[in-house]
Amino acid sequence: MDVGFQSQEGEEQQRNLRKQLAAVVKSIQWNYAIFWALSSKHQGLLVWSDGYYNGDIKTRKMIQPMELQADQLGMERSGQLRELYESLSAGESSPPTKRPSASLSPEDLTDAEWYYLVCMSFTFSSGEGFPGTVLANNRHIWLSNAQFADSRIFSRSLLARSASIQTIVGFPFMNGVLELGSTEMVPEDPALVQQLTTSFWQFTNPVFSEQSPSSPQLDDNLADTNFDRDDVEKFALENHDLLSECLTPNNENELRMSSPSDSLNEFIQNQNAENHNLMDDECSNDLHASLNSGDCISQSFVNPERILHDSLLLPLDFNGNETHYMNTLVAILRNPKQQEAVTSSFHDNLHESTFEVWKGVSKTHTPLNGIPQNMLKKTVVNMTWRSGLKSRISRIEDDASASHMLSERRRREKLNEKFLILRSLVPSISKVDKTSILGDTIEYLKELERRVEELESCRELMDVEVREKRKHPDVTERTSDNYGTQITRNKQKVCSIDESETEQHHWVLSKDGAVDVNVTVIQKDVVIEMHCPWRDSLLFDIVEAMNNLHLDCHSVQSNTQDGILALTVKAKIKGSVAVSAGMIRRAVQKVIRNS
Amino acid sequence: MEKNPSSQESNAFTYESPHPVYAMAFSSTPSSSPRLALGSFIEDPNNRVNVVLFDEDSHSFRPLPALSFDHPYPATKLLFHPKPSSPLLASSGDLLRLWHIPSDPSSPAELRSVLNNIKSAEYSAPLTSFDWNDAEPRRIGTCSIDTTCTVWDIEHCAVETQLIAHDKEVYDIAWGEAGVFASVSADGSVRIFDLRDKEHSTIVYESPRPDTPLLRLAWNKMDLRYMATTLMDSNRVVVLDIRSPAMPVAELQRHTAAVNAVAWAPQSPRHICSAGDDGLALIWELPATAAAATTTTAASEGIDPILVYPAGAEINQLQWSAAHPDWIGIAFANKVQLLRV
Repeated sequence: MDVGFQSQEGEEQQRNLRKQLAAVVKSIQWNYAIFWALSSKHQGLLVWSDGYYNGDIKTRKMIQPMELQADQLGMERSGQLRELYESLSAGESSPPTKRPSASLSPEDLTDAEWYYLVCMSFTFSSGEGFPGTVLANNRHIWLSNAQFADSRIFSRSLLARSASIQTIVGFPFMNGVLELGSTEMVPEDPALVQQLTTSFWQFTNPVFSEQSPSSPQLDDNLADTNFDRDDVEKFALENHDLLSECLTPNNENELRMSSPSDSLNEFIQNQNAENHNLMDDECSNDLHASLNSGDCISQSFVNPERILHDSLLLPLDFNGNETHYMNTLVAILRNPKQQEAVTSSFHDNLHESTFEVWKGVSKTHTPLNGIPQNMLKKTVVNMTWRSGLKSRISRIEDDASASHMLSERRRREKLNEKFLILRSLVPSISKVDKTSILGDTIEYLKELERRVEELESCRELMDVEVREKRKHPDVTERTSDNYGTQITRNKQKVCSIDESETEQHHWVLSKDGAVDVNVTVIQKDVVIEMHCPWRDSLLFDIVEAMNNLHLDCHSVQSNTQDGILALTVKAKIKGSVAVSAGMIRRAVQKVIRNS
Repeated sequence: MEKNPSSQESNAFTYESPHPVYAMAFSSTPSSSPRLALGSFIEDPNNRVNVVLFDEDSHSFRPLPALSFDHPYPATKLLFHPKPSSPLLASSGDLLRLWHIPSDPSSPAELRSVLNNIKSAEYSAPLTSFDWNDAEPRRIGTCSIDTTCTVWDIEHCAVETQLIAHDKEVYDIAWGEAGVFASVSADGSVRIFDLRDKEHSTIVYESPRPDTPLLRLAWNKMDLRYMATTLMDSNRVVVLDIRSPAMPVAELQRHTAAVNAVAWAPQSPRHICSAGDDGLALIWELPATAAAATTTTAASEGIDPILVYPAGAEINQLQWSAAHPDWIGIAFANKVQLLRV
């Protein structure tokens, strides 16, 4: 097997192809370009030939701390990715050591880089998968929304989703397939396809020129790139030799495979079948089903590439943690240990072995004490006997949280109980929910308050009456003269009788004469009619008192006769302030009395 | 106190310990004669760790009294340093301790360090188990009833990281890779932690009846895709493929009583040994493909073990050491037996 990379020529070809891929993918600002070439070993099999990664980079690890041009950086990154892939693939053949000194490690990669890296492990038969279909149809395919594409068309759709690859396009190119991908959603553009195709074919014409490797100019690179069809093929074949070497399972015992080529084919078939399952599961979004497909995946053994991308293909339902877990899996599985086939050794040594061949359940021992896992539980579960103080502390903490929960429950129970009592106390409650109970209670309380005020003001009236009578024994006559309403000592009863209609009729005596305040409240409208002895600024004081009660006076009628002010005030209650007739009346009376 | 096996015909070699034995560790030196560290199980603060030598030629045990030492409370686990060149033995219990066990059996064992989390110096919850990282031997992971797992840097005797790993007590821990470990808990879950991203853990299995505690965990060192766990009061060994979370690839249920211990074969990716209250040590061979396992299980036949050893009493401990893959160590009552595989 000639490994062409060794030769100067091979390296140059590799550089050229990659440069060409780089130029194209950069010119359209997509994320990667891959050239799938036909394998020499396996008839009609498309394998990774080369690629150029142009996407995001998570960690840039430089071997030499030197400044490189942007395109050289890109070149180097693509090379490093390939190197990493090869070192991962080689993991199995050198198990005791860590990965060979790749300048990148898996944790340095972005999701898109992972995608690119894992693509290296894929192979396609003609007509199979995305590159295979392109090759078979010999025409380009443009796939927008590639991440949701049917896995039969694009077997890497799930991977693409993890890497946010949205658009891929492939077109036949020199016995192989060129694939470009982008994380952008790019609608199909025939002009672009045309441009890409022609630009690639253009370079394949053997226009020889001296190469200037350090040229920073993209266009220069494009122009300088020489490429020969035969060279590409040759390169592809060489490359494939290496790749198929990677893909050949080292341990055939496990798989009981007859030949490497068989195993490769089986590998490919399995891969597609699995991809298909995965896709279905993703669609149905059924955890159980997806787990089954996980089982399906685990059918395969040994092959490190398989492990690598199986793990990445896993349909995990851990929201947001997918990439984390994938990375973890990769970390775990990237270096499968050497697996010796010792299957039979247990049987071979039976003559020496302490163990007997299993012949069904027979000589079992019945546990004596009846406590299963007694010592194990004492060791890990019931540790209270062990270092008593320490476990006591933790138990106290437990108690604290438990008692908190308990008291919280008691509080809720009490609350409900009180609500029931409240409900039984308020006669007007119609509904049972807490909000209604509280609302009805508020209404009920307001009503009660109003009643209390009325009753109080009535008592006040009586008090005033009594006081006034003491002060002005002759007042009776005067007031009766003025208003024809007798408020006499004999008529005290009238007042108490009038209690029920206090709002309409209310008589108060002041030292200067009769006071009559009548307040009517109909919703927000307030009408105050009053008579009282006139004094300076009385009107103003009354309006001010109204204002203090948040009443908006919009009409005031007044006239003064014989020193008695007759006043009618119409007002509105501002906003949602609760003002009762009683309050207004008392305020007015206060103003009058203070005079 | 040399105890020669009475059961020569069965190729099981018995050491009768002065105390009941729980913790057990094989030395990492792949010499012909393994040393065993045996932790007594006495339900009070005064316990011992005895070191004995098993002479493979005479098939007899020789106590090494100088290397034995007192241990506060029974050790919940013992492990020798994964590198044969290092003379360290670690024990867990109330705290993680490192002991110097010299290769010369006449010089005494010494307590090298006690690893205590300074932040919780006054109160550190008992450790249920620990595991020594083979790939990164300066790392030891401990698990505790306080729901945490702690990763220690034993070179600096410092906490590298402490994670609240579970909702309830953590019962066992196992390293898979230098920076990846898994743990099982009373909350019934198996979780995988990656030290590169401590914010996340991944639940790879939850016991079917919610919150059936998982007691033991063993990660297949020959094939890291597989791990095995045991449930409280259950005769089953649940084998998991970490790539297909939540769905065990196999449930081994031929024990007639609860399983106490489980260990993967150090030399084969598909063999596992389990031991339980039924007094049996069973060696199982997992089907070559997981699909086969699933179909077999689906046929409700289940997997039969290939080999069996009846110990006659509840087996509390089982160790199958990489340095001595021909021997399986079991402990029941105050007996320790080495079984030739």
